[in-house]
Amino acid sequence: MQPLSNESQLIARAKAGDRDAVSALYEGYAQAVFRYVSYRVESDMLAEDLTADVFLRMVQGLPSYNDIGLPFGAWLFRIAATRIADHYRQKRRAAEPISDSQPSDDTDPFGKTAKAEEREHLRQALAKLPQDYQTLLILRFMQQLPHDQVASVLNKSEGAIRVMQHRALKALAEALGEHSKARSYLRGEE
Amino acid sequence: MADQLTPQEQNLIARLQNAPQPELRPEAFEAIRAQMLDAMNLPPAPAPTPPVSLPTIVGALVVVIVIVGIVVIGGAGQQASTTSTPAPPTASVPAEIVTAEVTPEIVPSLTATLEPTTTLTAEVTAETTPEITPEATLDSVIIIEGPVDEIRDNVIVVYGIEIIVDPTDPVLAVIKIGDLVHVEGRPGDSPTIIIAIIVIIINVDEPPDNVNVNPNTGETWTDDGSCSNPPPDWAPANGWRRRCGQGGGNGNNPGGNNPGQGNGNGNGNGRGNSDDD
Repeated sequence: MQPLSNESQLIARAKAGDRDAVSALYEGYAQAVFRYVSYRVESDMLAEDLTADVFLRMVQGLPSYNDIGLPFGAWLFRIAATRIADHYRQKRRAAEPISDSQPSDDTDPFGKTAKAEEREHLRQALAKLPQDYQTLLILRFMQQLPHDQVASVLNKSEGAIRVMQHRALKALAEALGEHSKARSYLRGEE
Repeated sequence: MADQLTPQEQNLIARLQNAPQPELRPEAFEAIRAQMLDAMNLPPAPAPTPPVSLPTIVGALVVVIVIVGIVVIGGAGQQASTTSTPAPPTASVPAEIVTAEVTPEIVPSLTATLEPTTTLTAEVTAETTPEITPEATLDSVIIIEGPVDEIRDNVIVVYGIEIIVDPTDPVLAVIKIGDLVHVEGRPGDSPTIIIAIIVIIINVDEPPDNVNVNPNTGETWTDDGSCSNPPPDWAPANGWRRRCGQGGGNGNNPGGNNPGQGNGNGNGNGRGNSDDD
């Protein structure tokens, strides 16, 4: 994912309260933020709510955003990661049942297509990993962010991200393996 | 620097790269935009102001002490009148508030300036000193040891207790679920939250023996069992060096199919004792 072509100008104008600039930044990043959030939470409806929250916080935080090197996208993903962590913290405190293994509430109404099924497999496997691993894998491979930007989002060094990437891939492979075994068992396969 | 990835890792990465990319519904996209732009029209919410900040309290206390000191010193000849008027406010109001933050340095000044006086000093010292000392010296440290149940950003969970770790703490780069940790910290906002001061991993699961990771760069080297794949300098690679290092042949070549005990000459011409001989 590349920064927007005139991103610095847009940020400066947005900080000054220019609605068109804010709108342009939103258009540039809304889908990317939504994709990230949707792989981190259990339903698309919730992902939409959290995405809206991220952009509200963007508007509130713009005056204090300093364009000093932290890419704008990394800043948004960091807001999103924090917001998701808050969501799970509140959810646990409210003692709601953990819905990691529940299917999405808005899956394909005409039966799961292969894409929807693959997405659900990945989402459930990712949900078993530590939050930093999830963020790293989604941003690094699904959103194609370079190591340094992922490092900015997770507030870690680039070297630490490379080490973590190795472990995260291993953990995901294990989680996907467990999932496949469970599916085979449910189908009555050996 | 190219990361060496196993075929399994490459497959997994390809799967992630080709994963379905959900899109915001157009109506949701527009609704969020409208909501965001509406928020720009709202006046900024007034920042919640704390009732009275601690530095203000400390400053106010110092001012009160100075005023009391001046009154006491300046009015030495009129002790009867000063004890009756200023004593109640100074004795009661600050003593209640001071407890949280007053530093120990204030204590000597209180006793030094006020003790030689009459009834007024007796009241002030009696109220303030016992309150200040325990707060200043009691810095309770909680120690917890146990397995990491969960990691969320810079929060680790041990036995259901959330431990907030400094986001820049390098331990976050290596800690994993299941690691045994020793944590020293101070109480957080609730009984199940601890602000970590020290986090030590007691046992760390290393990557598999045949995978070496350079902690500085993240570069990896995997021992695939062959001597033709030498390790870089940073990798301990004890297995490879033991097998393939100078001074020991592997005995594979002349020994037939089964590996034998090699008596190498350092040039790879080891003689193997194998069953095929």
